[in-house]
Amino acid sequence: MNEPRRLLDGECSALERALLDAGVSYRSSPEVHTKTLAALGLAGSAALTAGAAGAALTGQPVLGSSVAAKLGWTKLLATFAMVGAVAGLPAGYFVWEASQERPEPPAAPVAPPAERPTPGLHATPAAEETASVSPAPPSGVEAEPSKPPARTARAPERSPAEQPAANAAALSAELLALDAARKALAAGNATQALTLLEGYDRAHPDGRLGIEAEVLRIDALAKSGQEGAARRRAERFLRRYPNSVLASRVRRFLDE
Amino acid sequence: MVNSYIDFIARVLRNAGTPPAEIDDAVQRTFITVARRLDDVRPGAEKAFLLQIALHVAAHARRTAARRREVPASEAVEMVESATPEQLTNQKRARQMLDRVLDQMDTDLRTVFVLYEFEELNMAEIASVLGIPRGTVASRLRRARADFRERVAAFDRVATAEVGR
Repeated sequence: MNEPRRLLDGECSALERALLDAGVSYRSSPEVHTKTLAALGLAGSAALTAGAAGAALTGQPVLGSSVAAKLGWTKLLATFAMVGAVAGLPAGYFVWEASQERPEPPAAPVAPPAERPTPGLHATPAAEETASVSPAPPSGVEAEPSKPPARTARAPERSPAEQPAANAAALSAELLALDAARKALAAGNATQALTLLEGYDRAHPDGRLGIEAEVLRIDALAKSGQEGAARRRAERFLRRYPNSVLASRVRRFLDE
Repeated sequence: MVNSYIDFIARVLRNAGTPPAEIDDAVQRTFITVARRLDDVRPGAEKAFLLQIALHVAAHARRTAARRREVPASEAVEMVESATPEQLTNQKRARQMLDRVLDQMDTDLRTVFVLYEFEELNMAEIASVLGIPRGTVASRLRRARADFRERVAAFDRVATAEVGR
């Protein structure tokens, strides 16, 4: 049976060609690349109950180990960074390049704003610190959601050319911070993980990986003996992000 | 795997009907699901496995969107290859028009069309991924192409008529 020529390789009208080109030229954003790696890092950790993400989607039992477990989260990170480095600059280059081609301002977010973590989701640093140093504090340790977190000093205005590179650097820093917390948790040191997550919050009050950080925090709280605080955060997470990629894992945690 | 296939997966998800605003989540779901089932993947068959999962994710996203009676988010931010504002605007319009054409197509025809025309899979590969005979792939591709061309021609006629007013 002969394979017919692709429409784009043959004769087609100008409009057909334009539409076909549009279908072929679609690319993912650098941000989804990073977020996917972050999500896989969480999947590779012992965080919460393994397997819910896949099982919730496919309805099938989880049989395999994770990409991160096989390749190593750090290797994935390194691979990601190396790809950017070989191209000339780290991942930020692609952000910069994309932003140069688009009419939106360079700092315009790529991800839907609705997925951004809101200030209320995070505990205040002071409250979190209390939580992380006390092995089994009373349930009231968790910060009130209505209390806004302390903000870091406003950074000086950057030029449009500097902004994308700064965004990429911040995203890489977020990824590394979360990886450090994940490793601490995987090593059985939940208290250290909470401290690192606290540092993440302070360094990235509007972090783009806030949802991923929150899932790690829920797990760390539970593993540090603060089951009540973990459950409350989990319930709040599901109210705010019922359709998040990580929601099914949080649900599984609550169902246990 | 992420580095090698993320654009491929994002494109398949997009062209298979995942609402634009949900592409990021859908990409993550696809890779997480594959990660959880990595032991099921035959060596060398990673791309096909990813593709199967992505099509499943896209179908799930379409059903969910239909249940919510959502209007497709045509204004979602997307990455396009373009150099000038004019080209970018044209590409954006073309993308929106393509969405409308694909959304009107039968899902089975659309899937074969997308995999053959955009992803350049051959018929045997498509048959393997979809679990259907190769003859069925050929038949669906023929019908999909005719359908696509008819719908695009209809758009063209409408545009010409509007310009002529």
